[in-house]
Amino acid sequence: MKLAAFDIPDDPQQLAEWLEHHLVSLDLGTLVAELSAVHPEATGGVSTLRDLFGPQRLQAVLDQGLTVLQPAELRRLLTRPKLLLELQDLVLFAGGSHWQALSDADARLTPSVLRGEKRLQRFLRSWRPEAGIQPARLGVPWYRQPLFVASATAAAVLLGVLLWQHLVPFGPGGAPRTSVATAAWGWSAPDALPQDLNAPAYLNRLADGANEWFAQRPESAVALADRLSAFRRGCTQLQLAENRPLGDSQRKWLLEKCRLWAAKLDKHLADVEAGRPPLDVRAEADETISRLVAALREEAAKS
Amino acid sequence: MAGTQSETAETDEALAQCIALRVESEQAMQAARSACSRLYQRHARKLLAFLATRVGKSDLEDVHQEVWERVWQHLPRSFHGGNFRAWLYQITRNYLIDRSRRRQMERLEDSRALPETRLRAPEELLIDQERLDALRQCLQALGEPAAGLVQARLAGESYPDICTRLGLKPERAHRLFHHAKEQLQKCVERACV
Repeated sequence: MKLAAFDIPDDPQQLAEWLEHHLVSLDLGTLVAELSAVHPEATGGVSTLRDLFGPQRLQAVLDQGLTVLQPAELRRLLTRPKLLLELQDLVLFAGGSHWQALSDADARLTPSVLRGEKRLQRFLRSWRPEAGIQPARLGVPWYRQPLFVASATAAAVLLGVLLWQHLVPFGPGGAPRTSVATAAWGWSAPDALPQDLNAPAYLNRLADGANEWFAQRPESAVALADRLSAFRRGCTQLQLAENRPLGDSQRKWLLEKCRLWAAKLDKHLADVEAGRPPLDVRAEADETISRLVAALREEAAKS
Repeated sequence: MAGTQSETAETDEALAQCIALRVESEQAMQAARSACSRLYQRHARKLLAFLATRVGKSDLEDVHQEVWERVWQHLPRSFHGGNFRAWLYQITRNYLIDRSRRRQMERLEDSRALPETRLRAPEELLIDQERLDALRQCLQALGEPAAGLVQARLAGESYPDICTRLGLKPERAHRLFHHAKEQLQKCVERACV
């Protein structure tokens, strides 16, 4: 059991960032409990954030984050910890891109989000509408129902792929063919860089592609190096793509960012090759990629 | 932001609209599934943080899943346009209220409806009461000047200000805080086992 409040930074300049991080994380309840124990008498008094800051300051917090507050205002929040819960609600309901980027960059949330995404996809795949709410399908023979047609097509395609893999086990030059599942993900996937979208949609698509990193959690050095290399290859493909949906300044921004991300990925790969514990390197790569995803989404939101 | 057709197609509200039209054809169903995944990717992290202050850790992911299933099930009938994020949090609150009532009923049935039982309000925020009580007791046992120092540090006061106010040398204040943190950590761990 770790005491969350005791990691409070020594430097008051870092207080805003520290609190922001807790507001979008899963441990705000713990922090509030600890602060309430330390400042029991101060939990009364001011009853709402609006009383404490006024509507304009509050809106500035929602738009720009806690750095707009003076140190004395931050201290007032710390000594009235229940207001942090109210602030969290506001930030989550009505916070702008600053808060979205913070939330996207919190790597500790990622495992829960990924597990949830898999569960949701299973649910969506298995869900069928109730019979009474499908007017469009009434009177259509079973063999022409879209679900049957789709299933039959999928089965035919799967059979074709299996046959092709069985009959043609080697790629060009005699190299063993890599399975589709391991080769095509992230920015290397065939449809990862569609050039017919608008700028925000394209940037969000890039963020989705990068997020696929978290779909597998390699634990061995070899598996991690393989996954890092694949991500790094995707980074090259992105740099060499036309990126037509973006304007000149955004294209330049993306290329500059891409070079920085590539350098970081190279470092992670070098760390694995140098024998650093794979789980340590993976955690650092998670952080790099979370930030990368957040940067892309923030840029998309600005467009 | 210019309002071109493709840009509008990326808004939360347009994705929600796509889900609402899911029964029209199999293609519409596929598009709806994809739209739901997009909405999930946008909002899941913040929704988890919201839920984490309202449900226990062991239930967090199950409740999160329930909410998203409700989004999918209820959206065609109960989302009438407007702000999707506000609607999402409203159905989350409604779900928490239903869940809380259900659990209260179960508890009442289990305990043969003891009239003096204090039931938690459905929207009451979950604060780790055990940790709060333990830390409060441990702080009392800490004594001065350590307890005052902890209180000042956790109110965001800087070391120079604290040192001036409490008449401490900076090195001593740092040492005291570090020591107090270790003591409190052990004390709370013992109390919460």
